[in-house]
Amino acid sequence: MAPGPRVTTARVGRRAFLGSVAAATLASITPRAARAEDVFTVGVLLPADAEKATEVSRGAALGLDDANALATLFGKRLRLETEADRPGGQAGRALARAGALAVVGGVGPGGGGETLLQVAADGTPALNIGAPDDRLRNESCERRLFHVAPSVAMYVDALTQFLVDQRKLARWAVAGDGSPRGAEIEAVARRSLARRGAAVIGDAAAADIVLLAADDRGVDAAVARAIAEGRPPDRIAGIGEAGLRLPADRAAGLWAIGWHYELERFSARELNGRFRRRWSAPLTETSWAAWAALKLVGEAVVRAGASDGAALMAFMESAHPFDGHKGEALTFRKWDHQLRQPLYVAGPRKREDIAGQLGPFAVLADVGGKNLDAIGTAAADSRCRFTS
Amino acid sequence: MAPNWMRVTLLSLAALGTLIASAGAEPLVYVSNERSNSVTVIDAASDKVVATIPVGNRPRGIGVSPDGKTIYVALGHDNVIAVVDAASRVVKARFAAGTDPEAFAVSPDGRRLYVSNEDANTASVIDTKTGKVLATIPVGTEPEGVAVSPDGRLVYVTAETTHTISVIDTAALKTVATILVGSRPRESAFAPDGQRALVTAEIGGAVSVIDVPKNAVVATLKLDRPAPKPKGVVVHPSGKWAYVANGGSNDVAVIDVQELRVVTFIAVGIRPWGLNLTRDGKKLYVANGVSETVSVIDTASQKVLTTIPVGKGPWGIAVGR
Repeated sequence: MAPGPRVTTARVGRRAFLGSVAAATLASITPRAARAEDVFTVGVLLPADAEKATEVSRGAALGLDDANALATLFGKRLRLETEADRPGGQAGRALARAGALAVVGGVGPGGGGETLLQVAADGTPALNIGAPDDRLRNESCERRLFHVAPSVAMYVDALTQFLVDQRKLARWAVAGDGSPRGAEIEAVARRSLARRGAAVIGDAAAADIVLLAADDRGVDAAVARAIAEGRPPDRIAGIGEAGLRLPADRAAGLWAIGWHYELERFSARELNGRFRRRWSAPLTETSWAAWAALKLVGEAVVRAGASDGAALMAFMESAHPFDGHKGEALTFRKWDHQLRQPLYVAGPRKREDIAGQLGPFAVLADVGGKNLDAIGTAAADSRCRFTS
Repeated sequence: MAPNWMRVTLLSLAALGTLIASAGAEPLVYVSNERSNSVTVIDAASDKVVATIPVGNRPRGIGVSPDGKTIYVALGHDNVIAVVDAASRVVKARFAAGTDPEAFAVSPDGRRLYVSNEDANTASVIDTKTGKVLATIPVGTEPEGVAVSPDGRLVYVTAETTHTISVIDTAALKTVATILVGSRPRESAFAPDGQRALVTAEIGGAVSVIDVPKNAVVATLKLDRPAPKPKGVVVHPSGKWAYVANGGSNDVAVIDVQELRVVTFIAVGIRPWGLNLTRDGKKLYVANGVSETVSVIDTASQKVLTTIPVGKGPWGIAVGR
């Protein structure tokens, strides 16, 4: 995957981001300039990682475009206020002080999810676009926190549904990296495999497939180890799009993901195309989630007249069918506020087929379309208890 | 076995009979086949395929001129609207139509085509005599379905991403109103009196009913099916009934337009998409995209009369004279 241009610091990224957003917003509101508008602020937390910050910024900007294409028709407009995410909760509070109707964030290690929890606990609805932690959807859940990003449980279920149910690969090995994320993936995988009559076996050499239970930062090394051990590239599996960032000459593994820039069906082609025309870069999973979050808030503002946190939450909890260009009506689960959505499994493409905009990984399967509650934590298994 | 002379005579008579039947048995029903790059011609009298017309790459939207003499087909991969002579069944012209044209409508007087330009967020107005673009009108994001009011004064353009209907005044050639409808609106259809219009919402799983003079949604009819994904919609000439193709639940919803309720679902093939009625309203033709068939429904009994194999990926249906 071709990375987008890097920003050197979060501050520079913010300025460039706001400049592009301002231009787009001005363009979109010009025909209605004479009319008074209700303006709503959406806070965006930018992660410290510059590449991820760029992806968030770009997705949010396209989401703002799309949200305002609708909102300005009805005398409303959204604007963005950004803050560099940092531990301690100051960023979220700054956005709340700026009057944010909602805060979007959760991307990147060492902050995202915790900041959002604090934002939600302080009373502002928050949309998680990057933290997959099951804990945030279970024992640490917050009523004001809504998860656009898929959970670890969803990713793992997507993998097992595809590899066990469809490809009949029932004997699994787990290669952990010792990280908390790795432990989480392994625990979820054991439960998911057991539900499907598959299991992690003791003899790793005899396993049909090896699951990389690794933190995003450890994915590259984990793939290299698996390849060095002689695993075929299509017998290695993992979650999230970190694996898709491997360079073409080391592309390996089957990855459960939430979006892919080569998706075409259900108008994904149009969304991917609009993003690429706007930014000359592919629409990544992180960018998709940022786009979706902004568009969700925009629809709440227009459809439900949401002008405060309570009304926004009521809209999110109303199971209004959101169109994420995934071909299904996406709604938030009542029991943990996780957005129901299809996921995808991508795998390495033949070297000779990599050309033009076709990258090293191709989408092999859609997962979950028929029953979106079959992936992720079911209501009966949820440990989330909303307290307010 | 019959002698050769007898077989030849019988075959000749049969061929002559087919010719006579096809010449006199109007209407003809035209089906665009997205993946076989053709239009299937069905004789509505016999419900037999009488011709297949090669038209170009990725045919989807299809329409017929009011006099029945011309068939228009949107060719997504050729970026044109093909103009087919209905008598000779030959493509006689190709109108430039932006990138990947998909949906359009023919004006009641036959003088204009209204085409949605999905990538450009506009609708183009094309002069059918010259093929020239008369106007390009901004609409919502990702415009799709196009419908013209029976009096020709209004055009509705659905926009999938903004979930809106852009209402175009065809005299002023500009958008005069925007109506918010269900998630991912695909198509719309006017009632014969032009007072109401129905809009399908694919992700919303519902049909919005619009009071046309007021530019307002007066009802939203949920289609009580798991993921129905409604797409095509057409209103019966009587104005009493509307029919909606549910691409996700493989059936056609029958709506009582006056009582604003769904009265039944008729099972058809897999992924019903485009649909249309004969002008007398007696038969409904439904393109089943995955089954590669057309279901023919008797509207009086609400039963499928027959199922006709057509090309690959049947998409849209137009009815001639």
